[in-house]
Amino acid sequence: MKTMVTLLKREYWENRSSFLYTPLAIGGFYLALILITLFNTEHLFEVHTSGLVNVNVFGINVGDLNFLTDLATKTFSHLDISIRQQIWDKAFFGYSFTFTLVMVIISAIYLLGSLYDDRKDRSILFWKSLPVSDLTTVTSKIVAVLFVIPAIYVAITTISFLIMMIIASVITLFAGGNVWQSIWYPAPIIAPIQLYISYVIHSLWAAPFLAWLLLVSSWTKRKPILIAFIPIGVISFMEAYYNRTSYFIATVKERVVGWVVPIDTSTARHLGDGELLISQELVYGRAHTLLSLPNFWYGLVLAGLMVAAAVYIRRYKDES
Amino acid sequence: MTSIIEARNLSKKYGKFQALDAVDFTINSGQIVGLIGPNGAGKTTALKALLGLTNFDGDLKVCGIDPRTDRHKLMQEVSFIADVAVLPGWMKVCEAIEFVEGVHPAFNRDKAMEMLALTKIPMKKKVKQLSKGMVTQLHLALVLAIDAKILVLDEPTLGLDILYRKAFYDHLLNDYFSEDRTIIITTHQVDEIEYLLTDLLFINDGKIVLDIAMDEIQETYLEVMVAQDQVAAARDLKPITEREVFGRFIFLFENVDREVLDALGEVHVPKVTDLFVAKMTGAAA
Repeated sequence: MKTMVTLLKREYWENRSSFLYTPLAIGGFYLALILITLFNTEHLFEVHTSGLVNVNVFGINVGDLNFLTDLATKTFSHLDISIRQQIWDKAFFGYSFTFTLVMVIISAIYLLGSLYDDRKDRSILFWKSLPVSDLTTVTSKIVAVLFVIPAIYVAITTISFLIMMIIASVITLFAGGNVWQSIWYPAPIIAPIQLYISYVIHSLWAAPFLAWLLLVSSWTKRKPILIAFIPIGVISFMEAYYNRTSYFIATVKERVVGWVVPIDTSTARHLGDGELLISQELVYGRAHTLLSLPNFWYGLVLAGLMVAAAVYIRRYKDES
Repeated sequence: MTSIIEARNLSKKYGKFQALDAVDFTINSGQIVGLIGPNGAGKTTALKALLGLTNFDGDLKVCGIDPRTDRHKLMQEVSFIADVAVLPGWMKVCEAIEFVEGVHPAFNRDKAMEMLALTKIPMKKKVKQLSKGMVTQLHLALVLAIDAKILVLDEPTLGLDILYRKAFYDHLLNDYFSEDRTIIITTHQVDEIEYLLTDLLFINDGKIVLDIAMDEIQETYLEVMVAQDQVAAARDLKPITEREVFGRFIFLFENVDREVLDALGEVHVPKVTDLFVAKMTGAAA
């Protein structure tokens, strides 16, 4: 146990910037955006004359931050409790989306480097001089991706969201509103936990892809990113060319995209012109749907085999 | 003395290249062994086999453990510096200490801090910000603070200045070494460590060329400095090598009586370097 904690600290030390500073920067960016919106009537970013800010990520509207304005103008407290609950959930899950997207990208890069970087700089000889089995080492990388990174991202998402709520409270106070009635009740207390659980389940859904990245990392001599994606491209091309089908790339896409956004046609709600509203219902609800799919479990088996191969290669590959 | 490393028929091939060719050797606890050989002789391969870093054929037991199957258990008993400057550059000095403390039950933090206090290494700096010599000092401090049965040092003092090298070897001998510890050292600067070795293991072309205790060297090998007129007589005794220094000839003999040699000239025990050169060129001839 002490060994695992130390190994996880090690992963954190090595990747402080992507594990911690990156989400902090995103949170800081949004807070700055809110402040600018509140104190500046100029058109910054997508600040509409109404004071509404649209947060667009790659063209997907992931939720608007006009709830703050709503709060400040005291309209919120007149709404029905269940609607207020919904608004909160949507605001929180919508807000979390940028974090999700970035987290997934840094996780993929992290995995690709996890068993490669120390071979490249030869520090593997230092790690291997200590009484830590290769299985434990590989396990620590998986635990980092499945549990540690999401925990840090959810924590920062939640804390920065709380700060926004506090800002809203101050504004409401100045506007003469009832802070408790209009903001804190009913605050989405369990939303962060739901988000965390969703992250873990979505990562498990993407596990075959993640395990593939780990496997490439354990074995490639150079350019893990290229080596990871070339086979996917080649297999897709061969299938399209000889078979005129595209099952493989569809499956990969289902797993990779499914890791990031719950764009599953059965559960996604497309709003207007392709805008997708990320909500509690979508994120957390879909995570549960995934668990009931046989494919989810087959994927885990496949991922397990690839992880086993990565451990074996880590153990026996002669680095000279 | 109990044997702590036993190799029987140890072989390793890289493709067609025979890095180790059915090697046998035994190392006992309480020995300080110099593993010496030219580049590409099989030194590193032998060390890697001992440390569980490579696969091999034959039998090898280190502390009763097969390095192929239980590397991580073995690392409780063995510590090593496989090469210089393999500490990860991103790691801070204090993190390196915390890490080793966290994963190694036999690590003594106070000892490491004591050794680091003698250096100018700042705790908050990253390894990549340290000079090459400092990285080595840090690595040595970490490894020497581990209470291990076997210590393997592969070129431990490369890049260190002579003052620190001297201090390091003195520390190794006086403070670290004890009866129940075993040290294996490879280095190109044999002269520097000659005085602290108890045993020599010469390796060339994947074979053990010489396996001898330092005490036994004088019983087997003698060097004679011979004047011009005695050269023919000396050659008749079949020296393993001869070389010329300032017009005088130096012959190295194996298993020739001292009385016989005394008649030829000034006799002394060869230095390890000269013995090494003799053995390596002898093997090639």
